[in-house]
Parts: sequence; C-alpha cells; structure tokens
Amino acid sequence: MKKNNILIFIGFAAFLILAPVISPDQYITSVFVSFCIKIILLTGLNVILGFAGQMSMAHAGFYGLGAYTAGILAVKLSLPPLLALIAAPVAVALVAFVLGLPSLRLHGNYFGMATLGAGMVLYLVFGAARNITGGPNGLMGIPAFSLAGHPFSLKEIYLVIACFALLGLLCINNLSRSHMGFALRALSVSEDGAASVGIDAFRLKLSAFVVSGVFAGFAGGFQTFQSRFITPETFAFFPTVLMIIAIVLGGGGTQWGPVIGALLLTVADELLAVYPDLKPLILGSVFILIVLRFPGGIIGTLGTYMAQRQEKEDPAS
Amino acid sequence: MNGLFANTIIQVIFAGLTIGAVYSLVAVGFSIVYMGTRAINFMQGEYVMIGGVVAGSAYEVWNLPVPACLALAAGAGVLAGVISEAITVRWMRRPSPSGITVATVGLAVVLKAIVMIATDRKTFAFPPFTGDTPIKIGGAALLPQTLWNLGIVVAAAVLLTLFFRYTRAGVTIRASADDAETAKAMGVSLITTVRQSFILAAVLGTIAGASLTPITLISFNSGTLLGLKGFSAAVLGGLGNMYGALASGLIIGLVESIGAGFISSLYSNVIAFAVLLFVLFVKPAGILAKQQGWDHEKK
Amino acid sequence: MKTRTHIAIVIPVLIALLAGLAGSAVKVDAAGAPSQEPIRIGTLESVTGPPAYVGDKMKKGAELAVEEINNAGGINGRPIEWFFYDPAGDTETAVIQTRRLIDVNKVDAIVGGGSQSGIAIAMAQIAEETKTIFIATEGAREIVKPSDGKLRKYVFKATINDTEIAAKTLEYWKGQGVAKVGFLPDNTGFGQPALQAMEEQAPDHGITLFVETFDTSVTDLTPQLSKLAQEKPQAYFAWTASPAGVVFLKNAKQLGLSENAIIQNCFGFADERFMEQAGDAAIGTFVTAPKLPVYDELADSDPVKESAGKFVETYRAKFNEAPNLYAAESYDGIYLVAEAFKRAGSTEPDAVARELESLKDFSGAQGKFSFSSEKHDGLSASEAAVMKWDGTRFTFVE
Repeated sequence: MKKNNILIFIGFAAFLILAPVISPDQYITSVFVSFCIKIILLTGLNVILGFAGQMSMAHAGFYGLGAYTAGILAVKLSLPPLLALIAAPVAVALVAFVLGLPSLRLHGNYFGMATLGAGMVLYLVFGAARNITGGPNGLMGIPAFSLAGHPFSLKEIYLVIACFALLGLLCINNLSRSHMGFALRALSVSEDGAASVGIDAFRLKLSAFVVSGVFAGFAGGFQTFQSRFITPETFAFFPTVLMIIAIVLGGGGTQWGPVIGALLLTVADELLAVYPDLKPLILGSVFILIVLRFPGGIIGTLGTYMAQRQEKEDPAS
Repeated sequence: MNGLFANTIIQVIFAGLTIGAVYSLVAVGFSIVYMGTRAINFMQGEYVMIGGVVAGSAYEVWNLPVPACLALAAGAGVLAGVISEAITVRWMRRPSPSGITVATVGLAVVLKAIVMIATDRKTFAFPPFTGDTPIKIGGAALLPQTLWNLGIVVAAAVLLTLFFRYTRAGVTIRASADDAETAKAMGVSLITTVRQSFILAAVLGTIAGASLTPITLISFNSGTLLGLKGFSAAVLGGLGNMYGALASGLIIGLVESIGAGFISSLYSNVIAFAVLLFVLFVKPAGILAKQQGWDHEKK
Repeated sequence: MKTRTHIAIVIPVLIALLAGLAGSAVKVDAAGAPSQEPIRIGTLESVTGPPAYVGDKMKKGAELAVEEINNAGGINGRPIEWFFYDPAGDTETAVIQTRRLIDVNKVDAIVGGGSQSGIAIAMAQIAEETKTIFIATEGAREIVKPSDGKLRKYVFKATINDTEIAAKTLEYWKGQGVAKVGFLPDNTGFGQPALQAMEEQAPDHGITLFVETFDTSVTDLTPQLSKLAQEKPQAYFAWTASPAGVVFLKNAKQLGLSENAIIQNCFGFADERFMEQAGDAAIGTFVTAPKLPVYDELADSDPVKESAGKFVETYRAKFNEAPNLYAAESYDGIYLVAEAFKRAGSTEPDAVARELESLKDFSGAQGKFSFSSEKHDGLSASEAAVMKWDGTRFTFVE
C-alpha cells in the first residue's frame, strides 16, 4: 500500500512539474499556479481542521496576512523578495500562536468563534489600513520575485511554488504517520480519551494550528509574488467558506483530500467562469450533500466503498 | 462642550440604537438555535436579508400596505426556519453540533445564490413603518423608525420571556438546552424542539430585516456581515443567554456608532469583531452571562 | 488500509477535466454564422460578488452593443465573437481569466475591467505586457496611467475621470457661493482616488474640505454627517456607487441638512432606481455626471442627443428596464473599440491603439469621446454636467 502511494506521488509530481512546462500558454501556467497555491493553503487547513478536528475560520485571513506581510515588506521597506517571502509564514505563525494560546484551551465552539473573529478583523484591517495596505484599491508596485539579481518569470516562480506544494504534501504525509499524527487523530475523536492516554491536547492543538498558519503564510507570500497585486477581497469570509467546503469535499484528515479539494475548486473556477450564477449554487449544494450524507468526503466515501467491495470479493480476508 | 458637539453625541447614540436593535434580534436568534442544538446557525444573517427582500419586493411589486408586507416577511421567516431545520438537521445522517454548523454555512451560500438570481441582483427599499418625519430632540433628529426598532426589541424580550416560561414548546427548548439527555429521557421530542427553535430564530431575523430596510437598502449580499456582527453580540452576551444577546446587540451598535463618529469611520466594521475576540480572551462565557452552564475551563 | 488505491482513479479523472479546459471556452455569442474570420472581444465584469449590481448593468451594456454591431453586419463585414467571464470581484480570479481571454480565446481586445477599479488596474498590467487592447469601464485614473509611471500604450478608459467630475462640481459650488464642503468618499477604489482629486482641486476654487471616509456596508451615516455639520458646510458631497449613497440622502434629510446646504452625489448615482429608492429624501438633490441622464434636454444639434437616445431606447427594448450610466460605459467601450478596428482595417494592436488615439468627438451614449497620445481617458471634461433629481427624473442644471 505504501509503495502504491509513492507511485501516485511520483506520478502527480511529474504531472505538476511537466504540464505547464510543455504548455505554451501563460493561462495554463497561471491556472496551475492557482492550483498549487490552493494545495498549500488546503494542506495547511487540513492539519487543524482535518487532523485535529478544530474548525478554523481564520484561514483566508492568515492567507491574507502572509500575502500582505510579504507585499508590504517588499514594497514599503524594499526588503529582498526572499526575505519578504520567509517573513510571511513567520508573521502568521506568531499570530496563530497568540490566537491559539487562549482559544485552544477552551472546549467546544470557542476556537471556531475566535478564529472567525480574527479572520474578519484581518480582512477588514486589510481594507481599512490604507496607508500601509493600499486599502480596497489593493497593494501595488510589488516587485517580481528575484534571487541574486535574477528576476523570475511566471514559469520559474511556478516551479518554485509547485516544488513547495509537493514538499508540503510529503511533510504532511510524514506527519500523519508520526506520533503527532496519531495523537491528533485520537484527539479529534475524543479529547478526554486522548487525555487519558497521556496526550497533552492543548499543546498538540496549538502546534497543529501554528503549522497550519505556516502553510497559509507561505501560500500568501507566493500569491503576492506571482500576481504582484493583492486586494482584500481575496481574503474575505467567503474564501474561508470555500476552503472549508474544499476540505470537506476532498476529505478531511486524509493526505490527498486537500489535493482533491484544490483540484475541485480550480476546475469549478474555470468550468463555471462562463456560468457565474451557478458556481455558488453548485458548490453549496454539493457541499451540503456531502456534509449530510457522506461526511468522509470523496476520499473517505470512495475508500469505504472500495473496502466494502474488496470484502465482498474476498470474504476470507 | 458646545451645543453642536452635544447634538453629535445624541445623534451618534440614536444611530447606534437603530442598528443595535437589529443586531439584538440577530443575536437572540443565534442564542435560541444554540439552546436547541448547540450549533451556530450561519443562516441567521441570511434571514435578515430574506426579511428585507421579501418585505421590499412585496411593497414594490404588489404595492401591499406596510403591515401586510411585514406579515409576509414573518411568514417567509417561518418557511426559512422550517427549511433550514429540515436540511441541516433532519436530513443529516448523524446530526452533531459541528455538523449542523457546517451545513448551515453551505445552506447560506446556496440561499444567497438563489436570491441573487431571483432578484436579478437588485436592491430593495421599504418605507418607514410610520413616516420619516424626524422628531427633534434638542438639535438632534430621531427617526420614528428608531423607536419602532427599539420597540420590537422590547416586544421580543417580553414575548420570548412569556414563551420560554409559559408555553410547552418554550419550556422544552429550555429543558433540552440545560440538559439534552435528561430531557430526552423524560420523553421530550428533541426534533420538534429543534424545529421550533429554528422557526423562532428565523422569524426574529426576518422581522429584523424588515425593520432595517427603511433605514438602508437590502440586497442578496447584505445578510452575511450583519449576521457575523449579530454573532459577535451573541457571544458578548454569552451564547444561549437571551437577555444577554438582546442587550449586547444594542451595546455593539452603540460602540460601533461611537467609533464611527469619534474615532474612525473606516475601522467601525472592525469594532464588532475586535469586541468578539476581546470577550473570548477575557471572559469567554460572555460579559453578561451567569457562570452556570458553561464548561469554559479545561476539564 | 485500502483508502489509497482509489486515489489512482480520482486524481487522473479530475486532472483530465482540468486539462480539457483549455479548449472548452464556451462561445457566448455566436449570432450570425461567421462567414468571415470574426473579431474576438472579451469582457470581464463581476455579475456576482460584492459589485454584482454594477457588473450586471455593465454586462448588459456590452451584450447590447455586440448584438447591435453584429446585426448591422459586424466590423468591416467581420462579426464580433464575444467572450464573457465573471471574476466575482476577486482580483486573483480576474488575472487568470484575463490570461484565458488572451491565451485561449485569442481575443483582439478586452472591454470591461471586472467592475472594480482595483481589478481593472491588475488587468491593465497584463494587457500592457501582452500588447492587448484593453478598454476599461471603471473609473480610476491609475488604470491608464500608473501613479508612478507613464501612460500605458494599449490601455484606454471609456469612463469620465474623477478629476473632471470634481472640477465641474467645484466650479458649480463656487458659482453658488459655497466655501465649506462636507465630503464623504467611500473607502473603495472608486471613492479614494476621488478624495485625492478633490483635495488637489478644492483650494484653487477657494473651497475648504472636511472629509469623512466611510465603508460601503454602512447602514447609518448620521454620526459622520452630524460631525461634519459642526463645521457648518454649505454643501455635502457623497462619492460612492454603493447603496450607501441612499443612506447618505436619507440621513441628510433626517438631520435637516438640505434646508441650508446643497446635497450632492457623484456619477455613481446617475441611476434612477437608487434615486427612486431614496424616495422623498432624494428630491432636490444634485448629481454630477456625464450627460446621459438628461440627454433629451440637449440641443438638437448635439449629436449625443441621438446616440444616447438610441442607447436608452434599444436598452429598454432588450432588457425591459431603465439603463444607467454603468451600462452606458461598457456599451461605449465596445463601440469605441469597434470603431478603432474599423478604421484600422486590421486587428494589429499598434494600429488599433493609434486609431483609438486619433478618435475625436466620437459620440457615444455617455457623451463625446476624444483621445490623444497623451490622453487615454476619452470622455471630455465638457461632458460632465450638474443635474438635479425632481422625484421622477433628472433635469439639467449646468
């Protein structure tokens, strides 16, 4: 089974790296850029939402915090792009830590409420603090990503983002097999149960939240340098809802769930661009259906189905 | 302090109470559904939008008198409550608070899309219930609609008290909020309880929408932010605490208005959420909540 | 343990879908079987998301213009093939859709910048880099000329400049003896550049500005208005295209400000529906806008009377609703680019840009357009007018 997974991963990596390189279109490349940024974002959200079972509604805000941190440092303080990019996840990790410290100690819905409030505050401040963020007009004048004086083209920055997305997937794969992964899953099933076998729930949840923030920060930094123009609307409440929808659709707590979720969002964006009215309608309806009837998402549901069929074919096992 | 400045202060208070009344009704809606299900109903803001759109279009398209439009808005609330409960609770395979919460997020997305298509993205207006001749108080002007909105909040407080104290349905909701297991053991049908709480919350929301529309315009997009602010008020009052929610709505409205008038109109939207964060960090059971019934410390 | 085998099925299926997208762009308008190679025009307007109301009108205006031109035999006999996408108010989406128009649909021109100035600015960058003719239907000056750079060669604007609306309004106030003004711009890409324009010009007219910026989601502006009232201004001016403008009118009436001050809105409110919804509060208020709302009061010799009249008539016939300025902006955008294609006799971007720059006194639905190599925002200053709402319609004032 493990071998199989490695093969899938290699196939997927080859596809991610090769497809835009072969294609002559800028368009295809920008679709893939968007796809990879979504993978990074959702992989991060999956850690806290899927593995730890904590409803984080600050993810678009974190994404924006990363994007604006990188952008502001590069524009206002003329920091080299690489430094600005690295500062983004650091800033988000700090905020996640400060936010998680009080809210993750509490039971129940508190964490969801606190992250909802934090996400809204971040989004609204991006629009209000126009002296540093450019306000609703957006932050302009972001330089192209460059290293040692070499400015990156769209394809080059794509390759960086794609490699990072793949790396992120590998990390999460390792994490889910590690002690922390098992502990997280135990936690999401029953916090009291987890505590009774000696798991420090609070520290674990806090680590998961900070890790998810680091991913969101990187996604934001990449977004800043690939589009070189950011506006607050990209980081509003609805994008958070879309991300949660994507995780639930793909399958929370699985390694490939975020990839499927990112793919679904990307496909929906492109397919439904000509039928704008239908996009929220279709995404929302499918989402409700999944939540009500197939809580495991696509991965989980298909997995269960396959397992059942296997059992029928091979009753001896 | 000169007279003009005093006028501004009074005016700012009026403005805060007008919108605060709407937040109150939204907040109490969150609390009622929370009592019934322990879930957060993200449809609450959309109920406000529906109330405004239904009242506004009944007025514009059929030229109905204002009371008839209000009745239609309330009726739409009943329908919206029944539908929300059916979709997010009844049809769920294994209803859980977080499952219901997530399902209401999806339902809000779908509902918004439907209203957007059905209304062709139009904005709707609705006349003040009793004219718009302002009442002069000193140099400040009070709109009759502000009095209506406050009156509705007071009426809601009285009616909800009676409902929770003296009707079977009300007592059931309270009982299941306090202890769902015992209530179940005593033969209370939780499904009916949950439906009633959704209907109640939705009707309060649509009435809030109909009383907001005279002071602004409503379109498919208006509900989400109002809902989230109302939610902040509900948390401030302590989720599940009815009177806390009603009072907190007015508080949030006032703080927001004072912020817009004297600090910065740009950051006024941030205030409600900053308050939410502050309360969660400092006193998570809500500043107006009694301490009982909350497992807010780590077990 | 079996949960991973099926990924081998799911991922390729979804990827095949994604890969198939490149060629899957749906042709929205294929009216009139193309006997000749069509001219491809792409449009991005946000018909969903926050700017949906504006975007919807803009889409309808463009759709009407494309239909009219195709029914009249196209551009030099070549029909227009029209592609439309909805960025839903999101810049990130708009950037991808712009690349899709350019790379996949191979459009010869783009008309419409997503219904928000911020989006149009992002699109302008791409259009300039790829040498694609782009006519924005949004207001900000920075679309055609970045604040720190030089005029973009391939980017034009079918809307009036906020500087010209500001100039006209200030001039009118000066004539009315106004010295102090309470100014309320919204915090969007529409209101904020206007604030800059007003601050630059007001001193020249001997006018002092008192400013209160507000968010478009505002439901009550009485705190801001009564704060401004402390300065006793002789005019209040709101700059927004959102329903908050109605709140402004209602609150101004509530506070009795209209009794001794001018209440004025910018061209975002040259919209009958908004004015009707403000009810009594709107009567007697002023709007500074291009002449479209008062086209029937223009002199018969003014060609705009005919071009605007035709637009109002055909728009009503097709959509069964009153047109507004937003619809006129995209309608004019399509006609402008069609005229340039016609004169250039080709779709070669440099030639088309040259022809656009040489357009003079081109009469559209909003008024007369004149471009030059220094001026890519074509609607002339002379096309701005002050008008007054009398409860049922706008009347020409100055």
